[in-house]
Amino acid sequence: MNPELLRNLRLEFSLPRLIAMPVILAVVFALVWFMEMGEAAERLYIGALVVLYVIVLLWGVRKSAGSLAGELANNTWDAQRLSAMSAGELLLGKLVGAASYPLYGAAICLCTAFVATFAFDGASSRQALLIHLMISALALAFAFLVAAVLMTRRMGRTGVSVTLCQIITLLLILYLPFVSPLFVSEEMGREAQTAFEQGSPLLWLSSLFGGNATWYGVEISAFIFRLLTLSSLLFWAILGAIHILRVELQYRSIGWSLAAFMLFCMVYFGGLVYLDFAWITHLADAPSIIRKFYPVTLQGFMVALVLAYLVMFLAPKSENELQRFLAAIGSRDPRGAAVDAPPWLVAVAVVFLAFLAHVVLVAVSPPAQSVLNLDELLGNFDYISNTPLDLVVQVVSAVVSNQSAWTLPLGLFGFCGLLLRDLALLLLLNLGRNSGRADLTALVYLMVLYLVLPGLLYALNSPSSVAYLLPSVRIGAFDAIAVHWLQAMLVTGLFVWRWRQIRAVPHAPIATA
Amino acid sequence: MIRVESLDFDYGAVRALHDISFEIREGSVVALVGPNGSGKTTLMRSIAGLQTPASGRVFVGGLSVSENPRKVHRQIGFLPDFYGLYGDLKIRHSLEFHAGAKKLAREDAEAAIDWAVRSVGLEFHPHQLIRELSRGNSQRLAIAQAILHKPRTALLDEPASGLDPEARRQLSQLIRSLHDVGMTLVVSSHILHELEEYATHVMVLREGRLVSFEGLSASNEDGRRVIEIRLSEPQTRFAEILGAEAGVSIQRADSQSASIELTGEPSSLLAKLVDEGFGVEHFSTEGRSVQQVYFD
Repeated sequence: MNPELLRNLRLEFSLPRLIAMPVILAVVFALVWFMEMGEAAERLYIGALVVLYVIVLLWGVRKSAGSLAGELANNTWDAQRLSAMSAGELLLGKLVGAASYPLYGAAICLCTAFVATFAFDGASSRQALLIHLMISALALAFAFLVAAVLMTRRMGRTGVSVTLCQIITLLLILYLPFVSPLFVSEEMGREAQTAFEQGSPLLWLSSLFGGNATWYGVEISAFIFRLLTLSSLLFWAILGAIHILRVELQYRSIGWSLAAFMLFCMVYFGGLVYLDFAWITHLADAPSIIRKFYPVTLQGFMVALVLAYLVMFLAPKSENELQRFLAAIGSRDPRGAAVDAPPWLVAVAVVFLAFLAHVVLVAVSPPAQSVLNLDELLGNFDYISNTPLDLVVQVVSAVVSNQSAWTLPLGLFGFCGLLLRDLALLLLLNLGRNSGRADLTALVYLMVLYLVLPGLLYALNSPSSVAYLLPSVRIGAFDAIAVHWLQAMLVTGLFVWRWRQIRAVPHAPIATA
Repeated sequence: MIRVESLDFDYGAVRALHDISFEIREGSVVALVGPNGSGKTTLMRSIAGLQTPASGRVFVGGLSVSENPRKVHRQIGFLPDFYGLYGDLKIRHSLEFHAGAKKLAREDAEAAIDWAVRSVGLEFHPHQLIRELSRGNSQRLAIAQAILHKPRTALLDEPASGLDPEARRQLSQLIRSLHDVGMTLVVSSHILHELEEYATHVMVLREGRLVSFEGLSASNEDGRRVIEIRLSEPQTRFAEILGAEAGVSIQRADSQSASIELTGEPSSLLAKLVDEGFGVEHFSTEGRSVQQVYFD
């Protein structure tokens, strides 16, 4: 048997505890059953779900995050890292083992709710239990992932705050299925309001899982869509946790999971904005499929950008890792470089890929005659058409002509410059002696750059100067984009200078006693 | 057994280890000494494959730690400076967990647990919880768990910290017994005179640099140690007791001091003298001591 699972089960279960949980839950459900309000079976169904979420979100999530945080706090993590257990075994042992007692209670709640549905016409309520099961599993897995991410950031023996993990998990769980517009359609909103006005919690709960969803133009049952979405999120949470555990166990593996997750998010969210944006004038003559993918790639870039900033701040900025990565590049060792590639580098690379995807889409779009006549614009440069240089010429031409089709990609190029500047700033500060506070310091600097300074410039009646500090997609903002990249190069140069300064030590001979 | 080549380790702009290179032969007991912040723990963790250095290579038993960290983990027993135990678990269950975590087969696990518990001299009740153990016994349990899989190499980071004198003496005996079964040990400590009792080599780190790594010549090639003894007051039976002890060859002796050659463990002889009621004022092996190497 999985030793970590066995250890946790030994800690979690005893005969009195085994008996206590069903007894306490039976008392709670009996109270709900005998309440004088609506149908008893429906009350029991709702009551069981409420208790389920209380157990999972207030208790199970803490146990799940605590399974990792506790190892750090008790200094037992090193022994586990040196064990022969695999990342999968550790994950199973901790996730299921540490939260086994709350899971025991959650299982009783789900069974009670399931049985209660047979006392009323509860086919859809029975079906909805699958969603509740997935949400519960996602909450536990996500809490573990958050704890794992925070663990990678530990400096010295700083612990991981279980409460922080719980708060982050609660925000995600409460946001995703109930509040997010991805899940709550207009139709659902109306149904929920009616149910609320009728004072029927069951109807209100059912309304959350009704309707249809459209993804890449395909209409599917919203229930199936939500189930698939939650399953995907659970998969990524588990994969992310396993990847972090593998890194902790010192496995030498390539971190595909981060890049794959970012691509998944770009594709997933893209499916929700796969709409024919016919009003975009410079795409007027483009085929419908290109017009539909235009917002997909644009949103994909923004999704990648947000995730990249998250990764930049959350991932550890290890000088050792960066040095090994550079050494692998220097010795032309692609596998070594892939293994040691820092997560922030992978994330930034995905942003540039997303940018490239949008540029390619714009490049392959036939220009609207009313807006752009490329032949006229290029004049006697026809010989380079249909070559890779064509794209470069189109970009340059757009710069020269303020062509609107390229305004947005150029704006995104400015975003990329600012991203690089911010990354270089973050890395530079992490090279300092007090690298523990570097991320917080970088956050303050970025707030000054993105909030305080622009505000000051507005106050000084110099709004045009704001474009040099904030990302811009306005026509003719090329000087601002150039300034963005100039800032990126300056800060990167400063980082490279500092990096070289603290390195280069002569080698000593091997000492043998 | 352990080979380190050009090891660099950075914490931000601070270089914790500067170009460390050395080779430890099989069966050695290396005393790793140095002031606080000299890089001892970082070096041990790098050898154990718990931290990946910026550059350089570490080999344990011929295996590259960076290329085969998981294989190296199976060859190593590591006791961190701040070790942890599962306080709410029964001692037996904790040992079973560590045996399982090291992938020992069920039948081997029982034997391994018995061996480890015997080796560290740990005694406990079948239902005793870990949190009920004394500091010394907790230390024994932590070491037992670290060596359960009979590793060829054990890294003990500050194993004597927080122990009372009696527990420290027992720890010294334990380290010697692990050495006797052929284990290669690296032991870091600030208590230099205790390292004296079992170390065959001493390695000195300062500000992340290896400043010295040398053998302690107390033991001759044939394993005989030259020992100087002085009592707090004259004892008429002193020379007689020494002469009767197996493995002792007296070079010079009077009623209060002696110079002898010893085959075997000095600690056994010291214990014998103490048991006889002699006040031992000085008991030292000849050759360069850990303290001499450290302060030179």
